[in-house]
Amino acid sequence: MSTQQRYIGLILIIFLAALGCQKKQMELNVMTIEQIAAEANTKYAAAIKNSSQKEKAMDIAVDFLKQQKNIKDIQVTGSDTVRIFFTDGNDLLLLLGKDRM
Amino acid sequence: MGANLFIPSASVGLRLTRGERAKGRKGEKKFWEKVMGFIIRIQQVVKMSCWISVEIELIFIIEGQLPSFNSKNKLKEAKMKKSFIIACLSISICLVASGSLWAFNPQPEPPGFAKKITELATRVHTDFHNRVMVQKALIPDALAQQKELLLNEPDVKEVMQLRGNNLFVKFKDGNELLMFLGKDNFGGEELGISPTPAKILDKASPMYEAVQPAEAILVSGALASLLPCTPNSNKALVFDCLEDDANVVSPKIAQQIRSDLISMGYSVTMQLNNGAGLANAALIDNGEYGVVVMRGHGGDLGGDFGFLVRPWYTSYPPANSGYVGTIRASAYNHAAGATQFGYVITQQFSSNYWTNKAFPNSMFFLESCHGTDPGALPGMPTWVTNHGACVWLGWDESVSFNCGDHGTDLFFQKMKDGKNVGEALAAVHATGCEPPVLTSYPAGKEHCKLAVWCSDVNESAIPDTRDFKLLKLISTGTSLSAKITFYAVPNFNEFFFYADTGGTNAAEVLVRCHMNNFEVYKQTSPGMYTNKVYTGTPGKSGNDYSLAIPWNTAFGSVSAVKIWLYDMAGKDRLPNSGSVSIKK
Repeated sequence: MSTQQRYIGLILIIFLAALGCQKKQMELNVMTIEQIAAEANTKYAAAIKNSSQKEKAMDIAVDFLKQQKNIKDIQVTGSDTVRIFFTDGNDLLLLLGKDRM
Repeated sequence: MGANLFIPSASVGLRLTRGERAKGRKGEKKFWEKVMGFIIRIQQVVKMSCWISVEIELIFIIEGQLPSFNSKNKLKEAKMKKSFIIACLSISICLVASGSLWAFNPQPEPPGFAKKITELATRVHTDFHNRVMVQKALIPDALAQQKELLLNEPDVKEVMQLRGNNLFVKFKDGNELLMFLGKDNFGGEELGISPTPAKILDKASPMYEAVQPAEAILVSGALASLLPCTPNSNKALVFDCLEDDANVVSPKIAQQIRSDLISMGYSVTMQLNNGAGLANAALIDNGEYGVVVMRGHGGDLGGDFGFLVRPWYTSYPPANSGYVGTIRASAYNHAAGATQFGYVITQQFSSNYWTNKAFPNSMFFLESCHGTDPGALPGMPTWVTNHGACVWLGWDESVSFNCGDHGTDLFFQKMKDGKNVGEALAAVHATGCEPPVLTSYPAGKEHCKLAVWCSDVNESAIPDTRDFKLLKLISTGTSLSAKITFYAVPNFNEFFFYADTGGTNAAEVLVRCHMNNFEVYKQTSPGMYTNKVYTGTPGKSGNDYSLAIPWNTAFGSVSAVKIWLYDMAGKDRLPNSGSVSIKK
């Protein structure tokens, strides 16, 4: 095996490693539950602040939740209450809004 | 190599053997196959957080794998190249390692049965969706089909159809599952999403009309009064999960409620912040509280009410809270300035833990969102009112801290002023801080009010049979009801019930209480009570002695009286000094 071939081989290793890393990075685009909860709340609160319309704010929050790959099901149980079910079997009740009890 | 001590399996066979060298291209192919296998092994090992040792291993291997670099005439160049290759390889390994570590999912897989239930629920939801949305079947028909399918499942014990076309499934192992299949939770385009419409009670509803006081009726010469519903205990609980969160009024609302209740003779227990957690929530029935004020985040669960208790969790908490009937939830924590997590308690929680003692005609006041939301009422509120509570109060939608705190403050001020629930609700309504609306549940409890209490210690010098323990006063508007509790079954000849109507510094009315009757006298001259205006029959039960005095007959047109008890023979007085005020 020549030195040149070994160089090519090593470059190949680096390339494959980079590919693997990219795949993992794509998986990283799945937000954590903490990020989802915070972001949904932020979006809802901002929409309420802008429009004062709960239905519109809820639509915005639900649209955001729909985009999450790890969310399997969404149930709007109240005007500002959403229960989400994750693909791994976990669930979370989101009490949306900041100036609410 | 030293690195083999860390991960011997990953390092086996990477070197090009003499045989492989001799086989030329085939040998090289095998070598690269080994390299690829090695990378995979590295990834596996990296997932075990041993990537550093792998890197060391590779560095050592490369040193041994490039013998040509060690020739004398190219020694310097070889060293440089080796350094370059080792650096590249290190970077690549780091990239693989970090990718693997980033992708590591710390959340545990759901246990087998939970997974099975999840699959079942998914199947039911999907099938229901298809039947309703695609096949255009009627919801009740689709629901009946799902119920039938569920009953055929080997793990399912019972399926109940709840209000709102939801299904409640009981499994043979004791687990339960509520399936939201009703049209209020279904019908969206993609995910079956349909928000529950906000249902604001009509402001012209009878709730806001002036509530007629209970009628006093005369039965066989004795006044039997239709007493308003009122708590039978002078203990109160303030369970404030947000005392350290946003507070609008000053002093904080928890302290104002406490102050109001103490002035009415209540013994108030405060559970604040982390004290308002699951453990103490589970004990609410044990306290035999006449008034329970719960302040915190509330949610409409579509058939149930969820109340978020402390503590806050900065990250998603485990599914098992240690208690049944809890759901993980997130809400905005003003103290932390971030959305955080906690557990909400539900009807399942209350029906599991609030079973030791029935609520003593308690008044539950929810300073939270959705406390009386029509979507929440079938759950915890109904369970609580079916287990002894006389009334459940709360906002029928999402309420702000401003309206919540001010509304609560005003409500308890009105209670302190002797107003009934209907009058207090009307006062809050009149502020215009709505929607949402502060309402009561169930209907017809607007006449409920809080009694005024006064307790007295057990005095050793006084026989328990005539030693006053507790006085409870409540006015219906037409009569004043009093219940005197002794430290033992009462046995006395006479004690005096004095009423100061404000005309003089002394009492203007004297009620002479005997075992079998009581007589109401008006003052004719200072210290002389000779004008008998009423005779009644007391109620006796256990250690209690009760009487009902017609207000106008005894006290005239005054709107408030001051009461005290005195036993001349036993020398007991309640209160030991001063008096207890009660408003008409």
